[in-house]
Amino acid sequence: MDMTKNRIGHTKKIIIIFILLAVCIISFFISVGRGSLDISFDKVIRAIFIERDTVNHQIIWNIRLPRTLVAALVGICLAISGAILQGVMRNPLAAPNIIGVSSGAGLMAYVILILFPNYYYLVPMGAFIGALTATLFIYILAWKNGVNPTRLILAGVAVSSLLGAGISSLMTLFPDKVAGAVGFMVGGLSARTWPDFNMLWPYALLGIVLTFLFPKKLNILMLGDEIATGLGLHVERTRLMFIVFAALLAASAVSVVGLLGFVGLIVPHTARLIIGSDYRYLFPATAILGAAIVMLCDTVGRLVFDPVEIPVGIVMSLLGVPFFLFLLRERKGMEK
Amino acid sequence: MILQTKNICLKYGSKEVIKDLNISITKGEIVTIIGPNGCGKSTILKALSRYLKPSRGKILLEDKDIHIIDTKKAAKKIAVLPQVRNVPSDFSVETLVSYGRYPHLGFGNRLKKKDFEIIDWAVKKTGIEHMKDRRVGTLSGGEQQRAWIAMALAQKPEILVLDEPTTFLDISYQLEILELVKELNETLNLTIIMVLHNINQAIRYSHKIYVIKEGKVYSHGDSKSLIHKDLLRKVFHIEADVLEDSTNKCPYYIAQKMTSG
Repeated sequence: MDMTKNRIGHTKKIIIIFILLAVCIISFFISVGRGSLDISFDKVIRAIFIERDTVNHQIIWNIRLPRTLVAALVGICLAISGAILQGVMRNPLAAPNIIGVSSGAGLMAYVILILFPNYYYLVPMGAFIGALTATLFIYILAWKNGVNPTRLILAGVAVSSLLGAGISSLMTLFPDKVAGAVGFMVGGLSARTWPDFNMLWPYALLGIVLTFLFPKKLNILMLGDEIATGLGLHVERTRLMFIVFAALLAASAVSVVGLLGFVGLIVPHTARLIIGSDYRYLFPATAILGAAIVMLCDTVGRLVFDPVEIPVGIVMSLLGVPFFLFLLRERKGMEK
Repeated sequence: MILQTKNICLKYGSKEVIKDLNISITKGEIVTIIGPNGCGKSTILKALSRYLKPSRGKILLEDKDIHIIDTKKAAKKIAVLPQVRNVPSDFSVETLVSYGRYPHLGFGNRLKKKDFEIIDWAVKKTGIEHMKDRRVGTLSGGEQQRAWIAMALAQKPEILVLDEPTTFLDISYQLEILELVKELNETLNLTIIMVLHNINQAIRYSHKIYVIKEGKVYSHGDSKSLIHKDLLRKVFHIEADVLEDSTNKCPYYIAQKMTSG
């Protein structure tokens, strides 16, 4: 595939991707197998593919499998979204919340849950629309003969805090109704099942197709606008395309699980520390790692205080952050 | 004329930086743009490299409007090394150079055997073939500059646009880069357009010089005879002495002091 003399680097990175894939598959089986009732690996396989009317089949097919798959898809969508944005903005702090996805989705969800609680089932659609509207708004605000990443980030921060103020006002004005809405802010996978999965997979598929189609465009965009123009890339068009993709991916994930935007910051960075910045490798690594981490964290959240569940967002922060910081320090030491 | 600007105006927002500029570049020449800070020389390069669109006027590449030509086609003719650029430090030199092939790639953007031959040729031409597999972050400033030039060469352009290629380099690397530029011009008949701050280097290494003052062409012509004391006084506000560089057969100016007013 690649005729570079730099084959050792290439082979090494492919091996890393396969190791991550193995970790991801193991995470899948742990997530499906572990719970109030532990089901062993072989029984999981039989419950999914062979049995039809057993208890195992019921538990796995109706509850754990869809939830695990939703976790994986959410991880893929958010992680790829974050990876795209970090490249497009050439900024390590870029994440889906930078383009207003979290605040837009959050405000819409709160408006529905607090002001129109009877229409709670509209939350996913509302959050999706809120996220995309916020992104569009930020993009238009940042436009001035083109969009420059710094202006986009600043517009994003400003609009996000404006929307955040909206959320805070709602919470202040309707304190009695806040309890029902908190779950959305933390991000959780509890009771997610096949309809959620059906809503998510087209976006996740889009994300995966992207990772194979456009890594080179993103690599070139990272070299700077002037260089990219000189190499014959339509900079504004390409950047808009990537931002739209990132917004769709994050919005779809956030609308299903709530504000789990943190995945989009931490997973791409972790993948970057493991495999480097070349998007040809970084995209697949990020997607796989995102799926694995969200599945694992959700499993931990289900297990530790069983039968009480800890939302996956909290587990992500408690486990993910120390791991990430560890990796960050280790790598720094190695480079010197 | 391989490249020329016809009465172009260039704006940043509402501020007009360049007004009615006419520049003509002949194929195979090294043309250097000089001028004091803020005169608009980098802005001119941004326009020539298609990054900044003129608010009025046209830029013609072989008599065709540079903004009407398909961008990839234009990228096969003009390669650009601006000052603002960025590369993840873990990219290998070869990966960086391979992006020069981007305008030539078909759908799917796969590199073919021919592309790898051109990448090999480009790193050899710039003398960095032995560091092909190294990470860009581990290179010195001069080596990085050569890696970027190799990327530009891999574009197989007819014109190379360089914005201050010697900035931040020590004197030996400056010499090395300018010698490389000269060699590329001579062996490949590559047309070079660059901005330099050092007037003596501009005189020594270019065929033609354009002197820009306050967004306009102050004067232009043969590099060895264009610059004189009066010009340096009026454009750069310096009093200079002139010596004869007999090795390179060109004048050498020594800035002595600022002129008052």
